[in-house]
Amino acid sequence: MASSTSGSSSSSKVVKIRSSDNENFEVEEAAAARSETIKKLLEDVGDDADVIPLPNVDAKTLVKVMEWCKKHMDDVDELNKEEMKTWDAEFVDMDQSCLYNVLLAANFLNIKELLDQLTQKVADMIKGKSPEEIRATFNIKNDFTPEEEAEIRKQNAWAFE
Amino acid sequence: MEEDRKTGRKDKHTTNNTTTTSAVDVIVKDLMDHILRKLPLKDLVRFKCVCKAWCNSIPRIAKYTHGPRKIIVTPGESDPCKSIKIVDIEAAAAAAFSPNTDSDSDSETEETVRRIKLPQNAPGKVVGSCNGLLFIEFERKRKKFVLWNPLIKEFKILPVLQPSKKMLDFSSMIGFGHDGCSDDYKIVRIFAYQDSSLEALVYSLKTNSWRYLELEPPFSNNTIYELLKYTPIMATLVNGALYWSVTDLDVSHPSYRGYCSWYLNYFAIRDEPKHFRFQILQFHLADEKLRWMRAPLYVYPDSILRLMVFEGNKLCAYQNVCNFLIETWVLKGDEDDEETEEDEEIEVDELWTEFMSIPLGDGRIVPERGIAPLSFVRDGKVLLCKCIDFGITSCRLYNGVRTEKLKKDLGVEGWRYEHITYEESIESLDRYNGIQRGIKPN
Repeated sequence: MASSTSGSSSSSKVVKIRSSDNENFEVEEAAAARSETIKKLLEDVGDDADVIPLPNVDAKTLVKVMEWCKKHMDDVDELNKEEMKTWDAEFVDMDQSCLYNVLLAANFLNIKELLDQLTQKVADMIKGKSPEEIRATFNIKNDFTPEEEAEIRKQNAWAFE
Repeated sequence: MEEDRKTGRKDKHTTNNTTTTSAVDVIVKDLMDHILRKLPLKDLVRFKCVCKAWCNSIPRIAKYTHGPRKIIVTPGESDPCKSIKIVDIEAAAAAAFSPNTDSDSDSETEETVRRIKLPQNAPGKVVGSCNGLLFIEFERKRKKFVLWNPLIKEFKILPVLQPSKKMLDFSSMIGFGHDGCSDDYKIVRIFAYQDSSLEALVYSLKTNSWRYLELEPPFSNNTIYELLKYTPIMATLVNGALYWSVTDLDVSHPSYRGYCSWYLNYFAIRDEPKHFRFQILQFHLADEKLRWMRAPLYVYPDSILRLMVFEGNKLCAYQNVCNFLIETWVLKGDEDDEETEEDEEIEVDELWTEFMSIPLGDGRIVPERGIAPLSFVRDGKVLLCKCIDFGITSCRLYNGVRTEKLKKDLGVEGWRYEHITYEESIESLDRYNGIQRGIKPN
């Protein structure tokens, strides 16, 4: 279902990408094309592409993202589904700052499936938490007056039970 | 040029925060929306008091966020119908198959099955569901109807109205849904009388009143009355219309053996030939018109035709064929008329497409009794239940090829045709008129 890669499917074609901190990577085209952004760039520049610069993604994050893309290069058949699920679960299990970086990269590189997995991971992390904990997790300042906050809590009392 | 489009930096100035720091900065607003959309509604509403920006955006997100689809069952004898059970079918079905049963499934069972007390602490039955609101019928003799949002704990008792003719001691056909055109919730009750006449009553939440509608009987020789007397029919809600599959016994058919015995046969499944006739009754909540529609052409005459919903927007009719298989049909939508025209040339005006045949009996060519579909699950799978002596005892999943036993019990109980699908929402009855708040949490 996910195979939307274009007609030229010479299996081992390699593309070069460059991270924001000027590190070059060679990635199989099929893997890199999981990113809609890279795929579009490749289509635009055609075969004479030298290196594709990715100014928003640093090397450490890019390695992570490409690791995911490589794993998700081919369509998964029914048998490997469970295995893949376990792999994905382990993949998103990373520390918070890393998670946010990969999340941003997935957003910039437009990899919908990865973005989905990562946002789900964050959602699972904050599920069941109190507003105070959320503020601490995301470093958000409480800009309500105590009266305003009390009023919102009162109106939505059922959600605090 | 690509990067500007995607990062979505534009919303930085939304709050007058002076001390926005790393994490908030990093997770840009559209990503945050993406994350919030994946939260359960209760969490979402609680996070309204995190900050002003969240408070503003959450109601919009909550409106388009629907909790996972769930089914509601009325538990059996243990607690005489004063409570309901809400089972998250997707999660439960997934958990029942997960290879490592000990890791996260224990914590999940609590989330997947919840038992809630009905408001008013009286025995009642859920007879309809729409946008997170449940429509409950209380008390058998003097009927009382209540609308209830179990998530936000609001309910409203509806005014009582008896049918104009002699009140009969049965529930008739009943349905509940939302009319998107006038943004109103409506309840429809249809009564069949001994003299072959039919009568419809429509309640509107906005006006808080009932009114009558004319209705033609579907069959010339009307025996629906006899059937309805014993089996009240809950409507199936699809795309703003309510549907009932109406069945009667074809008394003109040679297999007909006399008036008294037929419903006995119907209940005490004896292998005598029966010959049913079917019609589908449709009520459009927007234009409030009742219409009769034809049932699938190749329906089997000896088994009851029932309805369910496929993928949230298609009406699906099904029949248990001699306990060998469950045959299903899907009502054609208006939009794919052209597509199907070519291969359906012979049956030009057939309204239904044959859908799937679910074999029963676990691969062997033996009939298996008491199997009924509960709901469609993701990927076109079907959750089935096994019903013994009027109660659901176990569930299984049909994956398109064969039926798989579930490793774990889903906690589904009750009578097989009395379940309702449900999606959580924060829809409040407040915006209409008077509600009662705060049923005691259990």
